[in-house]
Amino acid sequence: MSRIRTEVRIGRMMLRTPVTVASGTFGYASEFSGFFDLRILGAVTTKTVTLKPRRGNVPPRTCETPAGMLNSVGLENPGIDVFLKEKMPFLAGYKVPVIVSIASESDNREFIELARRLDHCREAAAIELNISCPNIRHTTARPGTSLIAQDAGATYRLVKAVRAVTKKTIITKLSPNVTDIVSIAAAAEEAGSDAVALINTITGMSIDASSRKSRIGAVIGGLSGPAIRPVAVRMVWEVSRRVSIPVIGMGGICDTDSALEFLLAGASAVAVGTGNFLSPSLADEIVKGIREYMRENRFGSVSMLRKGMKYAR
Amino acid sequence: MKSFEKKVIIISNRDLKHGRFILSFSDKQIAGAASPGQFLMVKVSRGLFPLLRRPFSIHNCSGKDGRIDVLYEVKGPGSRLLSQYPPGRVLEVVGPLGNGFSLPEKGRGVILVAGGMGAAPLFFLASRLAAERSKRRIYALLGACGKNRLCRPAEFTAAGCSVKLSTDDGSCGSAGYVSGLLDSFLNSPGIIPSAYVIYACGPRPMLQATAFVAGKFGVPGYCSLEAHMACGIGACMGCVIPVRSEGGREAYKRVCHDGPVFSLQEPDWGKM
Repeated sequence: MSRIRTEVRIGRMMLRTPVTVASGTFGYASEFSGFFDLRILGAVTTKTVTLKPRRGNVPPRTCETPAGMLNSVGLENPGIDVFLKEKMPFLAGYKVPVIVSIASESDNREFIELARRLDHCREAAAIELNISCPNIRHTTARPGTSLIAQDAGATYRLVKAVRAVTKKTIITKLSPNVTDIVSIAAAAEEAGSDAVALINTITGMSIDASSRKSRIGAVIGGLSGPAIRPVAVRMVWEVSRRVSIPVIGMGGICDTDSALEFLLAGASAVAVGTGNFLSPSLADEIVKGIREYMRENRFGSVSMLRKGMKYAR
Repeated sequence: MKSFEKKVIIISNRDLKHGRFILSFSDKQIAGAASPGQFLMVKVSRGLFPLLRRPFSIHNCSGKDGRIDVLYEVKGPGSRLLSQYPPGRVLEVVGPLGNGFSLPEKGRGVILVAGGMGAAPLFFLASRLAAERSKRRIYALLGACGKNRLCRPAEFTAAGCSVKLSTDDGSCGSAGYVSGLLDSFLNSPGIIPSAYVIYACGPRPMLQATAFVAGKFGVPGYCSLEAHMACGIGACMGCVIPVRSEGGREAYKRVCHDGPVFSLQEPDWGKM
């Protein structure tokens, strides 16, 4: 059989393989560089950075749940200045596209300022707009919602505003904590987002009956891991059929088969998240596993794989 | 600092009674890189429950074949599963991880202060120091709630430590907390506190009390902290503790990556 083509285009960014990592689960990549060759990844997605340093939420910040975990880290990060000075140089040495995830807790101006800064940064291949972190509160979303990604209008306005200041590839990270994720994805597409990434964590809680306290410091946190995978696959499938921009699928990927679920549901690429904690070289295993599956099942390209789902029984 | 992700084979998984076990395997790379105070992330399940790996400190590394011992207590579903694994089973481990203890300068006396299972990483330190074959004095102050919970006093003696014991209920050694034992030890005639360094591990209130006693006598020291971890390699920011940074500004540090060993005075004990 002829060569297997695993490359995928997302906006202006070319991924060598359809596998990246979810922001916040891979640090700034240096933490993982001793466990596998990072160049095998299609892209590295860095931990969400904000304009100013953020201390993050009070511990405990994580707890284990059935087939998953809750976190309430709260976007702890050193701020964009330190990120560009201390974290980016390491990544630049790897010749792997870097998706820089950004967020703001106040208003759109902070996102715009961050996007401006990154527009000048040669090493940043794409900007991920993290408008769906459940552990911080936004002031721009309409009353009754706390996330930009819970409001199609707010999503549209933010993406449009960022689009106006950068030519970099824009990826909008969506929240599953909505009634209709397709309408939010459509708003991001209409405003000029090059791709959507889904899903961020599902809000959740866990209470220790003996202490009668929440198992995490912030009381409510974000659920991730295999427990959320069916929800994520369903949302990726729905969104992929309704928008024409690429979808990066994620949520509970912990082996090759679970990554393939997302690609078959229509994702152009997948991101390994909590799975990175289970095995630091999991993304490497999945890249190889996808290639192997494509060879065995005669899929010459990722776009063929994306259309490979069967419906008739 | 190099870490490895390996599949190893369990050599033995011995029941020490009272819910404690000692698991052994061989890995030359991990053993070669390991220093006292570092830990391993061990996959305890085959499936999705429990999902996350469990951090265990390295109890000892010995021999040319890179034998590694892990001393653990059955506390929950993860450690219970681990205790059921027979010799010959494959175990997935990542390590060594974190920053180990800064070794004491030449000639400085050493006081190990352990609360219960806190003795686990301190034994590796004791055996490394014993291998120096110097004239250094090493005291091991081992405390526990009762006689049955005291952790391996005979092994510490065999490793060349002068062992002193305390139990909360007075069933063995002096009655009271091990921090009290440390206080009276530093007060005893002939002991010059400034000639020693403390290495402590145990429950957080015990470490807080140890830090207080160390501060009172002006003895430098280190503690190894325990925490629930998701990744164990500094990526998830989940296992943070509040620390006192310069200028009194509040900050968080990761137990897995910035620790698990901290100076006794660094954690903001009042906020933990």
